[in-house]
Amino acid sequence: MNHTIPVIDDLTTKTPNLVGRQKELDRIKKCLYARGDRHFLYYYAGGGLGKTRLLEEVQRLVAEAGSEYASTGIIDLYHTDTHATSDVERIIVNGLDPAENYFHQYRVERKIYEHLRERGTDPQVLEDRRHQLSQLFVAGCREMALEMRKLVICFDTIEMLQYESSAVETVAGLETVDARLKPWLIEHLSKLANVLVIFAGRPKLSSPGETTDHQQRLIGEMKLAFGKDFFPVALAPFTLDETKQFVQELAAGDDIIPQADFPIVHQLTGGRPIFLHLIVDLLRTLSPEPRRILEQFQDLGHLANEPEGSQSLSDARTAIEREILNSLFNNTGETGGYLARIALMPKGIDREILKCALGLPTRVADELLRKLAPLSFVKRFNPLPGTQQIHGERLFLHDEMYQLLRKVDVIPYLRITERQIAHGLEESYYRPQIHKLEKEADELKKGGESLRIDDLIPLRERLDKMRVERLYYLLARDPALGYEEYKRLSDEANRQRRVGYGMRLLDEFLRFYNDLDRREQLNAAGIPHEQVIRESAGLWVERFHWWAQYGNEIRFAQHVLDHPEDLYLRQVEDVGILGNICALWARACAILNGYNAAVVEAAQAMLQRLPTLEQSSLVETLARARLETSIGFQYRYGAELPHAVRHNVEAIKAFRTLDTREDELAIVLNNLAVVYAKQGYISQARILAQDALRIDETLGDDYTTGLTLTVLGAVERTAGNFPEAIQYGEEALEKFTMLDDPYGRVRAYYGIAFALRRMAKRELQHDRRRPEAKQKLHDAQHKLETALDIATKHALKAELPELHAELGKVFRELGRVISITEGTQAASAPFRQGEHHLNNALQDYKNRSDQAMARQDLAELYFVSHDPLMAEQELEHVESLIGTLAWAQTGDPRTAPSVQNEDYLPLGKVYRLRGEIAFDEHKPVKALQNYAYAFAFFTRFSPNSVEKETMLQPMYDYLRALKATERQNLEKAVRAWAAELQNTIAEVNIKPFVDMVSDFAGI
Amino acid sequence: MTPFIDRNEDIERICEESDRPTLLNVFGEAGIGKTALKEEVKKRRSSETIFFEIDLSEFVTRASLSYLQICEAIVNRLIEQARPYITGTLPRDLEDKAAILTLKLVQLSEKAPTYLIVDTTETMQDNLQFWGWIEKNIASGLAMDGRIHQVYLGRLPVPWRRFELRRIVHLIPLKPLAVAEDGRSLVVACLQEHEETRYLAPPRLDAVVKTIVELTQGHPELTIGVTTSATLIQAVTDIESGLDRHALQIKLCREVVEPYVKQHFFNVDSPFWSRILWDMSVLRWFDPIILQRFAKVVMRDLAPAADDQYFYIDGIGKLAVQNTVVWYAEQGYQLSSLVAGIARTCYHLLYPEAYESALVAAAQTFRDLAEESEKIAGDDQTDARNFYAEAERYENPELAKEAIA
Repeated sequence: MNHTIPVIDDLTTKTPNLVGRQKELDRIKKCLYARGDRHFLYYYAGGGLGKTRLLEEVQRLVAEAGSEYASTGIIDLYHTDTHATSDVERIIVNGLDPAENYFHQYRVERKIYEHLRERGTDPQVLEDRRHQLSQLFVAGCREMALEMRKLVICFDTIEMLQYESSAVETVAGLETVDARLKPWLIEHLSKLANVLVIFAGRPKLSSPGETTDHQQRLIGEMKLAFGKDFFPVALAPFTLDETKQFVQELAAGDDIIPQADFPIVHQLTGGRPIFLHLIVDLLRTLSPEPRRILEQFQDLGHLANEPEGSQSLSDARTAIEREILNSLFNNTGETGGYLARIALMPKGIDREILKCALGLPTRVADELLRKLAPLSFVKRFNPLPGTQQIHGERLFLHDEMYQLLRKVDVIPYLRITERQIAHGLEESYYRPQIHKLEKEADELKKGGESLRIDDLIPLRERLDKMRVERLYYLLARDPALGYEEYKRLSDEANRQRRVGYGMRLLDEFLRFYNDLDRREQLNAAGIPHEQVIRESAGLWVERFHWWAQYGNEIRFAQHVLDHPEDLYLRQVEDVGILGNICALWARACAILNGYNAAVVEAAQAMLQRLPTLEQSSLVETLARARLETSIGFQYRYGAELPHAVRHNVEAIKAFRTLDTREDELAIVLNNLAVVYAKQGYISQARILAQDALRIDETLGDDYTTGLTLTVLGAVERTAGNFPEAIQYGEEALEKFTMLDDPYGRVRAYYGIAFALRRMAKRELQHDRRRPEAKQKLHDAQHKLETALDIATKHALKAELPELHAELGKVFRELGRVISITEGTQAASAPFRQGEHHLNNALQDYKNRSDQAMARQDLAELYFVSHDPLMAEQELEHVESLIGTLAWAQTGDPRTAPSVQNEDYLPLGKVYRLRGEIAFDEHKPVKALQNYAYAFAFFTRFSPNSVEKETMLQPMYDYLRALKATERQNLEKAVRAWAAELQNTIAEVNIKPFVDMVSDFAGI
Repeated sequence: MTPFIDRNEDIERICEESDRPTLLNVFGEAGIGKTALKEEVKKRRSSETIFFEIDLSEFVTRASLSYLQICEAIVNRLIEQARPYITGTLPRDLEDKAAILTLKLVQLSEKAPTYLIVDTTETMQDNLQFWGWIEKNIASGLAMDGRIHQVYLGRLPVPWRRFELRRIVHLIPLKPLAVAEDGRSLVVACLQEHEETRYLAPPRLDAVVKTIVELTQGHPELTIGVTTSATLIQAVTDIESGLDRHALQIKLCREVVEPYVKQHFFNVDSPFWSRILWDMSVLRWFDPIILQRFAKVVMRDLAPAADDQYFYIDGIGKLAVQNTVVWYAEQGYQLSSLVAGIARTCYHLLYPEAYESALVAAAQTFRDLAEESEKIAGDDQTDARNFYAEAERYENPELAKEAIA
């Protein structure tokens, strides 16, 4: 027996002729043919009034108008493919210009942008490029518009834009963040010329308790942006005559509604085409006894003139809806059972989904799709060109049908059924698909070839979108689980700087969460509204941080930290969230403004509020790890190295207990390596940086790998292994050039130049290979000039003083070599340039220790340019800066002066230079005494300080030139002087230094 | 000859004079009294009324006939019946022949009240080609003009598709007899018919009626079957010595009710569905998901894989189409209350252990659903409350009995 009731084949399909929209078509035609003008039409109306049908007609009109009219097709914001600004941008570009005659630069830059994002680059670079792309998009549209008669851009379901906001966004004033679709659309579309932009959507109603009129607000914003070119049009329901005409067309000749009953039918359907379709279906096909429905119309005839909003009218409408739905379930055979389930799959259906979610055999699934496709209440969606499609054609129910079928009494145990469907889809469809894509992506990544990036980028986008769709079903299946996954994915997206993906996730979550029923579900699952708000606040700070929107980050975080109660953040219970916010804020402050004691103090105070590591939750542990990192970072900027070490070590300890934050762990390892290297603990620094490199390479992130290579370069440079340092620097430079990352490039150039200069200096000390040394210095000069250029162009202000200081030193060494080879006169130019750059650095350095170092370098410059008086003056300046001047002149050298630990480094350099000056003046005893001071201060700075080694060569060179007796006398004098001081300077035993002098004197 | 009880309203509706053609569709479960109704109508109409009658089961049992052959056989049968009233030769072409036939029948109806009665429509229920032909070539013609009464009888309404017919179709669903009055009358009438006068005096009659209607729930054919069964007749001596009603009901169930239910209500091919139907009889309502969970508990051995929703959606869909016993109502699918009542009583009496475990499984299923709903529903705990109430109904012997009653 054939069990199928093919009654569904008899249901009405979409009408070929557009009924009752002549006035609108005339208006659209007028706009379409008005070359040069621009129009922004916004059609708004309730569900099922034919907005989409009107947009379809516009497409037909454009196609008929000829090839000089270009249309994007209908960009329906309902779908996952259209959630992100980048998607919409690409859909418009490819929709308007499928033959690729325009938007050349946009396409090229887009590709570069995607490559960079995939490889992982400095967030600021991505952010700049994203802005640049949008500008190129506008420029491309304007260029195309000049040659075409009209560009037409159509958006459907734009009410989705109104779901983009949430309490957090409102409280924090985040609605203008341009990664979000609404501000992006409004800003960029308003810059276009010779366009007809049509928006269609239903006004979003306010939720209970909400005071915002979303519709008025959207219209207001559009009016402000589009000015006199904006026309909001309420799409009217059908008139009585149009209703008659429409029904007659649908009924294909059958006189199914008596003329006398049309007024009530018109009234009951509200003149909405979708309901007229369903009424016709009910009478013509679904109801087993249509006579009863017609009688019902007669009975309700008195309501024909009832005003909108009356209870009896609303009851009558509900009664008819009920008839329709009961008929759909009872009289369409198995299809009825499926319809209710399809209503629970708002991401649409296709063969695979039906197979996985409901277990339909392929044949049955195909048959069902074939039957559903032409129906009036079913929408087809074919992915638009330009985005990465995650699926082929899918069928969706008209949103009005979603509403109808989801009514509580139609599917009485809606949530359970929904949960089961969502579970089926999640388990059998999304999970395997995502797993497959992840595997493919992993394979590609393992390949490591740069060529594979082109395959990886689209794959990644599909994967992202799949995850976003899966998120919906996860939320439907288990709100608590879904919410956790939303936070996890958002965090991942943020840390990979995937702005579009992050926004898609947010969008999907907000669409779910803005529904009050859903909010209730989350509440029942133990996630109250307040928690969502407070965690959203945390997420927004993270977004800004990882996207390098530090200005926004500091502003918003400051607001949250000052008024945590605005976002339901509690001082004790939410200390984990607050701690994370505070940590990222402190780091952003350091990145933008350098060391700030008040910021450190605030971060320390927050750290005090956290429970101990053993008692901490995961969020609290992360907060601790990040706070320690940020404080360490601040201290590093402030050159408070032992503090920096302590906090970085604590950060590493906390990150190691987390076990899931390898990328952030690598950052701290690098920070600590830098600090260790500065302190002269080269082996420790090397081990940590190598560990960071291992993590970066495992994670496959080119950007952080580049950063770590730079750190390794710095470590080797400090250790005096200049060729290795240069090699690391060049590797890093290669990565950063590929990533087009200015910050990375600047740091790499700086590192290489530094190593070149030190290498040249060493060669000069040996009086060898002067031409090579000079060449190295010229190389270093060019590299630094390039770096300065990049830093200036990209406003990397914090990098400028260090570059100037280094360039000053390069010129100093150039002066030194030129004065040897070509005479003092020739060297004066490089010396002046060196002085100029060091003075520049001095002006920009905010930090006392940095200033002391620059002054010390300046003193050295004066010394090598044969101006020892100026040199001594600068050295005294340094000592007064550090606060040791009085001590040096009057104090007991055996006791330590009360200076900060990091000041011993410049102080050591000051005395080393004084030693050199004394040697130059042939006052070897004074020279060696100064060296003894330098030895003591370097040891105080760090027992392992490599600076101590730098004194050996000049000392050896000077002693070697003396006669044996002179050497012995000198040794005796130094030994006696040291004995007088009990071999102690600044509480450091200088005996090893005296012994070394003895050894050298004996050789 | 079976007695006919309580269909006056329906009969009047069918016998009503009209100056326009009418289309009536009588439907209801097997044995509910469609054929008896038809006979009663024929009896009550005046002698000048002309009846044309077709019983579709006659044609369907002839194997391998195409729908057109069946249509032709029907037309020929009608011509045969119309011979006394129409003259002249008819064309050979089937459609032409049908057109002339309907025209003549319409003309005939102008002179005398005329009925076309088509019985057992469910046998062709989902052969839409057949109904398409009948609609186009017979039913529509008869509905256009004249005043022919077309009466279709079957377990389900005919799937009418042409609007001229749909517009006038009048559905007459047949309900079971009201147990207290008409059920009793039917029992009495049957006993009188069989001259079982020993039972007719109260209080013995009360005991007998109670025994019977509890089993049949007022289902006419089953009531007649039980009343006239040899078992009941032989039980008369027991009644005199004090009736063990329970033992008698078990006997009647085994010999009359269970075979009837199997043959007429639960006659499906699949062993899973024929068995689950018995278990389903304890459920007040269900849908594929509830049934799936219930089946997993109640019949582990036969329940298909846990995630095979298709099996359940499709299975229930087929039952709803094939049988008169499964319907979609406000709360979900349910067994026709009459069928469910009969099956449940029979199940309870014959297989008390299986019945009990079905109740336990039902309670467990709804309790699980309630707990799950509670967790996911948010503030609106209506679902959870309903599920708990439902679970309690199956847990509480009194309420469960009430459900049976």
